[in-house]
Amino acid sequence: MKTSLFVLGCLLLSAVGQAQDSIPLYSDAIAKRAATLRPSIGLDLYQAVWFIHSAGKHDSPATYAYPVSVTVYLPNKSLTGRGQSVYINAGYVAYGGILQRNIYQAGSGIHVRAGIEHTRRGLILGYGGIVSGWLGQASFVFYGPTFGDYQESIGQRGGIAIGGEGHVGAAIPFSSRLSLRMALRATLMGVTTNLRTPHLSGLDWLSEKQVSLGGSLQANLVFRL
Amino acid sequence: MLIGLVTGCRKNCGPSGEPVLQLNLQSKSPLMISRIRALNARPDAPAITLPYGYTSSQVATSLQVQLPVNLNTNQSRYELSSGARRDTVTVNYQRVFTYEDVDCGYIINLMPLQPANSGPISNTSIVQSTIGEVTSVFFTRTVPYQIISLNGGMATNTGINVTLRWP
Repeated sequence: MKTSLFVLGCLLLSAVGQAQDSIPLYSDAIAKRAATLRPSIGLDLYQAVWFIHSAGKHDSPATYAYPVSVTVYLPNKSLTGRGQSVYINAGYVAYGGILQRNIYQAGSGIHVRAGIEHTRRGLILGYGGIVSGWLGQASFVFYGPTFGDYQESIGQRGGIAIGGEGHVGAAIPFSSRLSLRMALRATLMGVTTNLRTPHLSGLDWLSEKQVSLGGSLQANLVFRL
Repeated sequence: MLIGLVTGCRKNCGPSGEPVLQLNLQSKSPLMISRIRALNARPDAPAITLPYGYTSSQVATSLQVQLPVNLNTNQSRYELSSGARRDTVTVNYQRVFTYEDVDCGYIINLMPLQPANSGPISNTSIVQSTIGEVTSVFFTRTVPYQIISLNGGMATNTGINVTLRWP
């Protein structure tokens, strides 16, 4: 009798335990889903290419581009699985370079881009807009190997560029929280001035027309918060 | 340059560095220039190529040398050595930098410099030679030109052409 009561008690306990287990499991799923909807933050590793490229140059006046950019993803569906998110990308660049044959500019620029990104089976499709601006000191340069270079300041030069863009890419998940989002982006831009910046923040390449086509690569290392 | 030759369409914008002073040396006797150096030049300045020219049967000499023009001041000075003889040649000019367009950026033009004493511009106010006589001086303007043929087309680069007669 005592034994049977003990067995029954154990069964009840296990049943209760099971019931208790099944409830946390359900809430786990919700929590998991909620977790995937938490914002993520990404740092663009591709920009390192510019740092390496600039470090390898030793020309005068110095040509360089040091861009950094951070992206925040606000998913309304899972970021790594099938879903979509709003992305907001902000960046900064310090630049120095020659355009228009001999006009040297050194300064800095910032950009903000935002848009919507769809992810499905590891493939990324996104579209959005970008605003990018720059300001720096300009001068023109004539090379003088015998008597020395001639460089004359032409004051401050800056501008604003606004564009629409789209990108395609791939998402590679490393873990539930860490992933790499790589993309190739094409941008159509209008620029306020005919003297461009040697490196527009947010873009790796931009053609030298008033309305021009730009391109950029990204390799965002994304961490879910 | 290669792209320019292949497409045959490249804008000439004039010098992107030190313009050229073409110095013509004439002498009634055979002449051999042993050394030319630019005064106030950088220590790592490239050597100036010694003149090419001819010595005719009438023992008259005509030599030509291309010298770089100092962009940082309105004056360039050179020292020419021929055996024991030394000639210091001083050339005065003014530099005019103007914005051309998005292809060329800024272009440079060399022009005669008004003498400090506000006297008339003459050959000797532009060029001074310690042993030679200045027989002619002229300035060329930069003429940007869109399409250049292999021989340069209509485009010209700014520069100074000076002829000196040595004893």
